[in-house]
Amino acid sequence: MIRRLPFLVASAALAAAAGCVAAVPRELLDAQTEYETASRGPAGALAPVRLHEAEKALDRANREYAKHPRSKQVADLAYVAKRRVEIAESEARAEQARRYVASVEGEARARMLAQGGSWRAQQDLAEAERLRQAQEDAERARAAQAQAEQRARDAEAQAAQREEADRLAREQQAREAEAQRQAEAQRQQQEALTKAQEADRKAQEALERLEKIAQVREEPRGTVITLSGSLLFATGQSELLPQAQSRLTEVAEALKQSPDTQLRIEGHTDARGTETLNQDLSVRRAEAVRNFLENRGIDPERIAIVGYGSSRPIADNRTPDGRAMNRRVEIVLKPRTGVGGAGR
Amino acid sequence: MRRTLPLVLMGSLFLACAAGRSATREQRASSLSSVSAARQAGAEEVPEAATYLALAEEEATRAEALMRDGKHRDAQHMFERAEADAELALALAEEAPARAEATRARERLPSVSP
Repeated sequence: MIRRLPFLVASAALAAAAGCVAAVPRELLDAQTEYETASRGPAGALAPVRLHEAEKALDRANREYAKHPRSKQVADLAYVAKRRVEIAESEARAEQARRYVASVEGEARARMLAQGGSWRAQQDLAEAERLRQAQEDAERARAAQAQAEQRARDAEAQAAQREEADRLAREQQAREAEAQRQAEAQRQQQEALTKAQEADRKAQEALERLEKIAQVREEPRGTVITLSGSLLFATGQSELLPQAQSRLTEVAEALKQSPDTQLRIEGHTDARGTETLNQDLSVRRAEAVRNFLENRGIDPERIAIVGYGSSRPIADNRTPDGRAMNRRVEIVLKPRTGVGGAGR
Repeated sequence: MRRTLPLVLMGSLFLACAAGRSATREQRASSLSSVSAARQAGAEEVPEAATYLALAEEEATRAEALMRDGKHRDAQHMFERAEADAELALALAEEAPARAEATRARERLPSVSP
């Protein structure tokens, strides 16, 4: 066919020159040129089947042109022929590349064999190396992952340990605080007990001292300290006698020892004189005692006074001894209840 | 004879048209098959192949339109162009990996001359 081409081209050109047909379409000329170029290149040897198909396509286009020079289908057929040439060339290039790869591999194999090794073995080694590398990478990644997980677990365990230690410390602290609180409570209890005992003891001592200077007795209304009126006041008077002051000072000291008591100072007279005078006198005497005790440091809030005049005798007013006993001041001690006593 | 001649002529024309339609349909099937083969070979991913694949698809569309217009001969030629472009796209798509492999071989063993 290649040998026929010049004839076909020549006949087409001749026909065109004779003015019998239209000029040869550019597509056809391009296809012819490309075919000639390809047939001189590697396609002839590397893609002979494809090149033959291109030749047939070009032949078809030429024949169409020879028969119907003005046919628009010449351009279509030339287009197809041109593509067939390009297909042949593409296939030739691909085949050339494949052969090059084969030759490179062959040469490498030969070199390996010459060096006492096997090219395939080398390839296998390379593949094995790649696999080993990949496995190592995977192993490293796994190890890193495991390490990270271990670190996370360690951190978690440490956090748990710290939390446990904190919890234990808190519990220990709480136990210590509780023990301290209990010890403190015990100490306070003990202290209170000691204080109470001390207070009792002091109160007892005070009572004992009072018993030496005055008559002391227990009654339902409280502890009653009775001071003889003749020892404290002159007849009809409400000023304290000098000798009474030392006695009352001792009473005050004794009362100071029992600060939790309420004092009620009651003034009493004998039945001589009018009731009004006696009443007034008894109040003034109670006041005098109260003022003295206040001056000796007894809290005024503890003290209440009352005057009973001659209304509450304890002996016969007809005898001098009985009247002497009725002239008296009584101090009634009661535990503090927060309720105030009688008016002052 | 006078009666039969028109009938024979009409029958011949009908047969010629039918043959033309059949050839176009065959060409159409062949072209679309080539387009499909090029796409399956990955022509869309190879730039130079993708150009010809697109061209083939465009020509196939134009050929379909010509068929619908009853221009079966033009449609057949357009389908032939589409087929040629699709086959070139296929060839280029297959050439690309072969050449890439050659390039890799050259890089692996630079001392071996091509």
